[in-house]
Amino acid sequence: MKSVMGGETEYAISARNKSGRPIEQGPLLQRMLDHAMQTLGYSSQSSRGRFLSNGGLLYLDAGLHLEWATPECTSPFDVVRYLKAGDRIVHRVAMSFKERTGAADVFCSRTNVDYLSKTLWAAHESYQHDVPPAELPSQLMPFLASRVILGAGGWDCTSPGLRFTMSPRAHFITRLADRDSQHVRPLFHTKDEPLSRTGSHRLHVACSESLCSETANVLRFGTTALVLALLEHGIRPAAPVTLVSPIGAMQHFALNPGWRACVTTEPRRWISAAKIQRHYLDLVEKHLELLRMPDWAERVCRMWRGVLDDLDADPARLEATLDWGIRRRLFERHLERRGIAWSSLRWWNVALDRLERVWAGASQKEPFALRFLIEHDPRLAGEHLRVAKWLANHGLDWSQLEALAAARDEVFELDAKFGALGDAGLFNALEAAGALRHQVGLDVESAVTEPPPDTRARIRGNVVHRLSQAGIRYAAEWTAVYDHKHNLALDLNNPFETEERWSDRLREGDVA
Amino acid sequence: MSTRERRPEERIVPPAGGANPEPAAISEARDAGDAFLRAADTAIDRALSGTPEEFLRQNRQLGGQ
Repeated sequence: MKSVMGGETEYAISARNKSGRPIEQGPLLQRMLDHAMQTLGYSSQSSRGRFLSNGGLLYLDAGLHLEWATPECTSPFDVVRYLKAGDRIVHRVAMSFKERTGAADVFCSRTNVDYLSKTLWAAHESYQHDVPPAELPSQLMPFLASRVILGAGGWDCTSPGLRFTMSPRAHFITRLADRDSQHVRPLFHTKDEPLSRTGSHRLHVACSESLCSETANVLRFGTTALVLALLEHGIRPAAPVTLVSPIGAMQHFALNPGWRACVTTEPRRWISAAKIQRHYLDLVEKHLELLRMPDWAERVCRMWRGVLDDLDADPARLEATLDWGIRRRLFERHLERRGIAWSSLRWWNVALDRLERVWAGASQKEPFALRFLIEHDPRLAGEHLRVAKWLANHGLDWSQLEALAAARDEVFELDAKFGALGDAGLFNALEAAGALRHQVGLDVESAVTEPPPDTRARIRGNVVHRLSQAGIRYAAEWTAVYDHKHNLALDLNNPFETEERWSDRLREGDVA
Repeated sequence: MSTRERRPEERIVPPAGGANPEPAAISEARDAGDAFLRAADTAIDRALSGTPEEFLRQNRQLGGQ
């Protein structure tokens, strides 16, 4: 099995000028990208982004975010290396931008959720494969729905209270499958844009979040690639674990990290997220030798099994390893320090859900907010009293709500800073203190400038670097590089291209 | 969809390694947990701005879904 895979990260970037005023997002990002191109030294003509010497792509995406796409890699360990290299590149660009412009503050984060606007971002994945695309959704949905056990963790934006979830994105998934991932949130993204002319396909996964943990990231890419390998060899794993409602299952699993939340399958039986994952893992391990799986497969299977064993024994074992475990423990600690027991959140959420339903039922124009309760809005008076008695049964009362609301804003701030780049990041701070157990032993610094040696990224990276050093104007795509000075085109349609094949350029996009 | 969740009180999962884990393992886990909490306290104190609503407003992002 030899195929390529890659990942993308979207960054939240904000800055304040010397007077302390926020700089508007659009102009800020364009200025930062221009600064990146000047300091990194690339002479490409594209205004939206550049391929770098390591073969990856730094660009402004359609949603007005700075985005990093890794070069094509053949192992999940390399993908994670290049994702982390992207973090270093963006952080260094941001810091040099701050120094050059005198900006008061520049904040960069691997964002997943904006809690004010209730919007989310995904961290996309790409996998080359030879499976007939029509067969993928049914075979992958149980796997993807249960893969929330590797989620980023965070708060459910749809809740008026504080509902922790393994995957904030899970609660925004609205369709089983769709070609559009920008305006719709599908569990399975059916877009097949192969970025090659070798006849293979590209699976584009858009249902998970950006992760900080190396273990979680390696498993995200490695397990998915191994399941695809099973499918490429004609094995169809999904029948025993087919879910009646994959979206409902995913959201239920996400809200119950420590529980055996079950859904019915066809034929009907109860099954947990971990059990579904074990089913896929067992099949991969059974076929490791027979299918000549890649040399990284055994290590990924050991890691996969280890995480599932920990999840089954005690999810707290993962509180220093997986993103959701680390976040959960961090938030729990902060709430403890504010005098709020984690176990009380469950009752607060029930009460606040109830008040929100009553508010919505009365067709109020404004969306429900905690301040209506804190300010004793008369529109909630009756229900407020009824729920007070129920709260009292759980040792809680409305006088504690203001403290909860304040703590809520603080944990949202902590969440936003969890994946922040550099010293500002909570994850980075915990790692520097030696408190985490997620590392898999990666050489990240060399990935900042050097491309993977075994894919077309090597040629792309070397060529764009050479042309830029020579001051030659060029344009680059995933499948080609166009030398404008000499009117030549470089064919990179084969993801495993090993030689520079230049031809006279007819027009862009016309490489045979 | 028919969903049933098993609450912790309905299903008791014995800890891995049997009912009596090694004292050394317990001690190691406790030390790791304490170290995490110390690091978490320091990181949280450093991260909080004191004005979380203002931070969230100033760092609000356009785009997304």
